[in-house]
Amino acid sequence: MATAKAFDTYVEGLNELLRALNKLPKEANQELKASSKTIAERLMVPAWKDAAVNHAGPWGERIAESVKAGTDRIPVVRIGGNRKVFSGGATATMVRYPSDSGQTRDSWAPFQKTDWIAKRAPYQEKALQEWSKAVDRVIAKWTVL
Amino acid sequence: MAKTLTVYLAADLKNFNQGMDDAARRAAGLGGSMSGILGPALIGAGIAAGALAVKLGVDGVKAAVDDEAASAKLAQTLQNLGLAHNTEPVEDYISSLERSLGVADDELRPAYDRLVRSIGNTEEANRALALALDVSAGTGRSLDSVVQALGRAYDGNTAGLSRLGAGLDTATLRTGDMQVITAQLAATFSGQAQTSAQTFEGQIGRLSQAADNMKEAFGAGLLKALGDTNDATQGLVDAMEDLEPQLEAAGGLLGNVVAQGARTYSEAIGRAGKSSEETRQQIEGMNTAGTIIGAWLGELGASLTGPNSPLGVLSRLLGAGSEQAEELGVSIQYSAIAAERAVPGFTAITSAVDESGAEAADTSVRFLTLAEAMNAVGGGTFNWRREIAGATDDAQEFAIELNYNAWVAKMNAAAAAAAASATGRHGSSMSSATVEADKLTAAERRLTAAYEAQSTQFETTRATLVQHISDLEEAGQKARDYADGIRQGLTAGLDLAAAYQGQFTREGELTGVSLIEGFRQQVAQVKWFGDVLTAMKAQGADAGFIQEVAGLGPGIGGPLGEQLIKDGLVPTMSAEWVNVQDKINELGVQLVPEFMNQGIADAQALVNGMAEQLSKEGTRLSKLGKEIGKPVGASFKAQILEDVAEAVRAVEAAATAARAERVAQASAQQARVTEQAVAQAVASLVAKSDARTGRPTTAAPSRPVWVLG
Repeated sequence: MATAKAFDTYVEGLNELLRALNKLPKEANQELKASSKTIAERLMVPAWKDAAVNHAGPWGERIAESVKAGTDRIPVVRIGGNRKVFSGGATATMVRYPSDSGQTRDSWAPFQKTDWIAKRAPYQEKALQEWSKAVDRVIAKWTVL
Repeated sequence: MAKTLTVYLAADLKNFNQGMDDAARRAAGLGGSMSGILGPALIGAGIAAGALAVKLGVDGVKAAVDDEAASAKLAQTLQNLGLAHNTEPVEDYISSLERSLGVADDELRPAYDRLVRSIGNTEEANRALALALDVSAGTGRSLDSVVQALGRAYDGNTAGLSRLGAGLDTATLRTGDMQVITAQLAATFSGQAQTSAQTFEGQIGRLSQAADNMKEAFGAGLLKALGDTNDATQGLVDAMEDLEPQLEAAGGLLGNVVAQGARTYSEAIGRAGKSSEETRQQIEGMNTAGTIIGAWLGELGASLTGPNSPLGVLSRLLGAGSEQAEELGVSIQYSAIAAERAVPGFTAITSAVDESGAEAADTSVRFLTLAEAMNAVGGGTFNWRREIAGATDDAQEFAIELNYNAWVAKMNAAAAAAAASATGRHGSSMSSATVEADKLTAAERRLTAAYEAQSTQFETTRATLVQHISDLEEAGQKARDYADGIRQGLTAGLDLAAAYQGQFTREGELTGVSLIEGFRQQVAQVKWFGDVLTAMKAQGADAGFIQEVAGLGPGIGGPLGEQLIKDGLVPTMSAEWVNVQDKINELGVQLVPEFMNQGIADAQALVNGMAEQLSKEGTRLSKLGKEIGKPVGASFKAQILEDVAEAVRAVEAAATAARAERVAQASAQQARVTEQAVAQAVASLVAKSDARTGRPTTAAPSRPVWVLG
């Protein structure tokens, strides 16, 4: 599945941390994925859904429906989908950016600039705190006998 | 194809840098609208400005230390070459190049060092360095690569120059004459460095260099105030921790100022297409904003050096007194001045924008480049805490390593537990095997009884067979004796002595019969005698009777037999003979021929039967042996396994005890380290979130680095 990646924050040494976690048993990483998904569902998904519903105009509801928590060791949400959700055959992915930037490109749809992506409620601080705790919890659990 | 957007909560800082590069490429390629690009550009400017304030800390010290090290190295090179007296002019020259061309002294000093080592002359080295800068700017190659090629050329190896793409022809290179070569290079690239410095990118480089110099000046001031005692260094670190919130707040304020100024500029650019006059006015507004920034920095410097400011506290902490504080303040002032000097850079930027006809795409790209440049200025900020708290990182790495080791120990313990479990299962299996062994033992007993009974029968059969074999052998012997008797009877007529004597009379005269003739006569007589016996047998003579006749020899037995045949007395005589034998049997004589033959036949039949029976018995016995052997073997095997398992359990118990002790020790140590790691991680997250929200952060020692995107 083709995806475009975006990042909320940048953490120096994160790759090294993830590589170090690879040394733990598979179950440890699965547990971290589960915790990360929970964090994403509880904090990230609502923020993105609210932003879409409240600020993305008539497209927001469908976009919000496409927001889903992903499974990764880092909390992640996926926005958009290639299923036709509009009567004209458009997908959530097709309207995601135009509804934010107002750029219609070659579409006849009346997109307007809403900046809805930037209007999502800040969740990064709390999510990072919880994720850090999850990491420490996994490390403590799977490295201390 | 439209792509699903995947938003990660966090990414490594490397992704940020890569993302900036990608953004710059996209902006350049698409020529996106100004409004679309200015947003991130302003964000970048805000980050860079905020980082600029924080950057005046340890990063500045580090830069000053590096600068001093590079200077010392170059000075040492000059001293070794006997050019120590030129050290100061060389430094001045490098500084002038740095200011005029925007090339960092960090690059210039190593380059000069390399060239002067090959040239041994500062004047020529100055020209060579300037030439290298021109070639570097003209070819786009790094200064280091050009300098290395030039240095090798001065050493006599011009091959590197040919690969620079500097347009040097082979004939020129082959001369090895550096005057000729450098003259051609100068003719080709002269003024390139200066031209490059005048470009927008060059201006940005100079702006960046000014900021670096400001940073170095600040760091140098701090170092000078510090001295070189560890206590003072720790005091600086502590003071920087105290200073951090204000610096970050200052960074935020500075970012706001820059952002406001940039927004003003953005609006001005937006109207650029309508009126160049308005644009100019907005540019002037930008200049004013830059001036405000510089003035604010001055105020910031003054405020930071007040008696109750953190730097004041730092000063007192270091025991350096008011002079050091003033020096720090001066450093801050210098920094502010440097920032003010950066204002012409902004002017150059706006001029460049104006000259470009306010083309939105180019403007956006340049602002993005500006943001990157400013980010580059502030990029090192994110590492300064790690520079201070390197020990913390080491501890974290140690914790990770320890975690891994503990995990390995856990895996070993799990393997031991699995082995113990397997041993337990083995014990259970052993119990089952014991029950089965009991059953088999009972079966074994039954089979053994059957075997014993069968063995008795077999032994009886065997004894009988042995007896029969003995009888058979005896019968055979008697048969052979009979045959021998017949043979002896027949051969009795063969007498070589008689054949010899038959040649002579008693008087010794020849009889006319030779020896061979006499022997042939004997053979013919034997043959005749055999024919007689055969004829007797043909007439139903009993074997015993025949043997008796044969025993008489050819001389008597032959005529007797011939007469019996001729008279027809063979049957009668044989019958009589048999009757006589019967009578003999009755008298206990057993070895009459008919019984003998029958005995032989019976014996053979018995032997054959016994052999067949023995074969059958052998198969059965083989089965019996297997049936008996299985439980016996199982019993032995079970006993052996039980012994081995017992031994393994004993060894495992000892090993587990030792392993448990080690694991307990590792666990205790791990628990301590993990608590530290958790505390550090939480502290780092709090600091990061504070930085992101702009709130003053709680001072905490040794925080890992978190950076907002």
